[in-house]
Amino acid sequence: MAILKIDSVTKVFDRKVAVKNFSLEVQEGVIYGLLGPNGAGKTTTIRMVMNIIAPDEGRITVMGREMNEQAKDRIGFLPEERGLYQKMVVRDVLTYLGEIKGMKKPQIAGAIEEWLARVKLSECIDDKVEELSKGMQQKLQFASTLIHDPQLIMLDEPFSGLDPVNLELIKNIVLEQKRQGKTIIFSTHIMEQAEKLCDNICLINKGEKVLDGPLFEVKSKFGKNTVVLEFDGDISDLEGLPGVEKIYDYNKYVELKLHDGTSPHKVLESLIDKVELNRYEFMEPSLHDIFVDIVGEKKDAREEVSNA
Amino acid sequence: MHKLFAVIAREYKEIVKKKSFLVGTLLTPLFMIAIIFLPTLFIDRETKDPIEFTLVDLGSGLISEFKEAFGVTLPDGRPMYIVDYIRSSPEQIDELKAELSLQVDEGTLNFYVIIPEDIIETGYAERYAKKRGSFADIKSIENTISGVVVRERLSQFKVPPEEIMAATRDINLEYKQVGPEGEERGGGNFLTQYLSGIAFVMILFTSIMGYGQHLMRAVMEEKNTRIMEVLVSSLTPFQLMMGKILGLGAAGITQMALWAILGSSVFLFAGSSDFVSGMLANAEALSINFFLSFIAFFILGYFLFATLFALLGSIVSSEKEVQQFVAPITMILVIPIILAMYIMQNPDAPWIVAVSYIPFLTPTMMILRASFTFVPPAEIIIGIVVMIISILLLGAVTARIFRVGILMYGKRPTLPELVKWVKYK
Repeated sequence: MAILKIDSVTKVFDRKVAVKNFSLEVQEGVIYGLLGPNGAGKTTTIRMVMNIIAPDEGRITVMGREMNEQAKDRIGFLPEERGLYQKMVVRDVLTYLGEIKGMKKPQIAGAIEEWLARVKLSECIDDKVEELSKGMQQKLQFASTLIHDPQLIMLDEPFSGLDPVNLELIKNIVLEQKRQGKTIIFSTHIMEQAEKLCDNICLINKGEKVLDGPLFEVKSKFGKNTVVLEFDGDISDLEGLPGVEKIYDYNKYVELKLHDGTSPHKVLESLIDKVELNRYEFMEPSLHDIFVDIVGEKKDAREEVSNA
Repeated sequence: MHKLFAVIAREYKEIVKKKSFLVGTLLTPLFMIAIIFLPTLFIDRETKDPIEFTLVDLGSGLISEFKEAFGVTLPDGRPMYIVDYIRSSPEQIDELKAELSLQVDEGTLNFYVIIPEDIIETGYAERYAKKRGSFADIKSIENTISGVVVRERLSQFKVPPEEIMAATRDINLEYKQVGPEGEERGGGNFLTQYLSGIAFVMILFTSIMGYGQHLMRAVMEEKNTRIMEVLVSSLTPFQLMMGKILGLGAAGITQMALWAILGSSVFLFAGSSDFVSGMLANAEALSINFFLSFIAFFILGYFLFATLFALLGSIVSSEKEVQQFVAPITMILVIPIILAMYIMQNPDAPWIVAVSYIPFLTPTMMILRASFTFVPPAEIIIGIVVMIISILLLGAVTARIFRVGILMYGKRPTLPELVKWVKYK
């Protein structure tokens, strides 16, 4: 069953088309990655799903029904920009956020204890939010997103700004939610995360869908056309290699995108004469390469990497 | 409804739990009392010290009468006036004036009064001083001289001295306000009536500005801390807006109730003061109709302005922008106070009635008029209808702008942009 169905949705802000004829179908129990560069329309799409703004055209159905206010209570939403009431006590913040999701007070008390334990913040229950560190506040906000046990979980850039330990903690909670049959949609521009977690991905650029489907299908569609290599020498030595369409420089290693039908063996032969090779691997393109290939220039790709 | 109550409860607790709420609730009445009592302290003080001056008589023949009339004492037994009497003549006056004026200029003499020879006929005297001086002091000197002259004139008509006092006593024209169906209420004196009218408007003004600004800043902060995104994923913008307005309103009512308790106990203790009892008499004289319309316009006024502040809160993003909006709103609220003196004299002038139907002026204008006169029930009802329609209209517009504005960061929108927001689906 499709838990979320977005059908030909368009949203225009003051002549700027934020989302254009966008459709998406998310099956229950999957992790769906909504990928795209900044300003691609991810946040607008998520806001329309959350019924914060209405689409100009098209329709959105959640759990088989037209999106409405009641459905909001069964969705958990973590916005990209984090924020909590700084002056409130942790317990009160969670109680309030639970209440406005339609929970009753006695039910909330139990959920608070459970979730604070899971994100390792139990001892902070009576502290003010402003007394917590930034990382702790992020975990608290994550807990508040799931406190009402939502069926559909929408996470906008959930991993940004987390240290590796907390990132692992949050990632495990996401996977655990999936095992419980919950559906998770998350947006990110960090492709490595998406590649590790997603069952399906959807790539948006300039308000339009450019790619959609199960991760393995997307990757196989692009075929095995990538070579990863590590070598001693200068990158300029790689220029003008026959059969190479693009070079992605990652500093420690380099990826080569080959022209269709180029034999990787031929490439290897011509490389051996030029540089001292430490690693040579023929593989499927990374999601990152696909993303960069579709969305933009190589220059942007470096920025994305440094952000990650 | 459950969600709306959750918002109301949070907003209410947030304010009431703050230290500033407790401090404000306790200090505001003290501040008000200080404002009311301090001027009366100054007025009392002015008459406490004897007034020293020089009286120059150019041959009126009334010196002994003046000495008697200026011989009154203060309540503490000291003389009220310390007068230096100089007999002179029209020939010597220029020389004397030059000398006395020098003393006045040097500050060794407060002022001097010249009584001409023919004061009984002309009724004219002169006072030479460096500054105008206290209104009450001058009036009392004028009245004293006047009393001496009038009595002297009467005695020329052979009126017995003991009857002169009785004959020259002033009359007191007391003001009784008349309403429909033979209703009447004591008007109190001019000053207390004026001040109590202003006081009611001030109560409305301080509440609206205090709570309204809080609302505006609270919305701005929720925007700036980005918690707004979480809130609108659970609530409708309308629930959020209404919850805030109602929660704050409830806190305001709590504060008013505390003030009513504090106020009535203060009045019980201070009721002996003339000024307070004058104010009280004036308040008692205001009919039940007045208090009902005060409460109605207070609540409606709060809603209208709170909605406006919610709208502004959703489009501003810095304290500087908040201040830009606070000034014009203050102006709107202060207009009736500027007009108060005129309204008191002409509370039913057609243009005053018309102005009191302008939505943002209605609450203050109506409260002010109602404290000065019997406003016909039809006008009260029109005012209430105007307010209700304005609140609904502004509420509808605000809900639409709020919805977009709370998720827009950075630059403040222009008016055409706001119009577009209202039109967004």
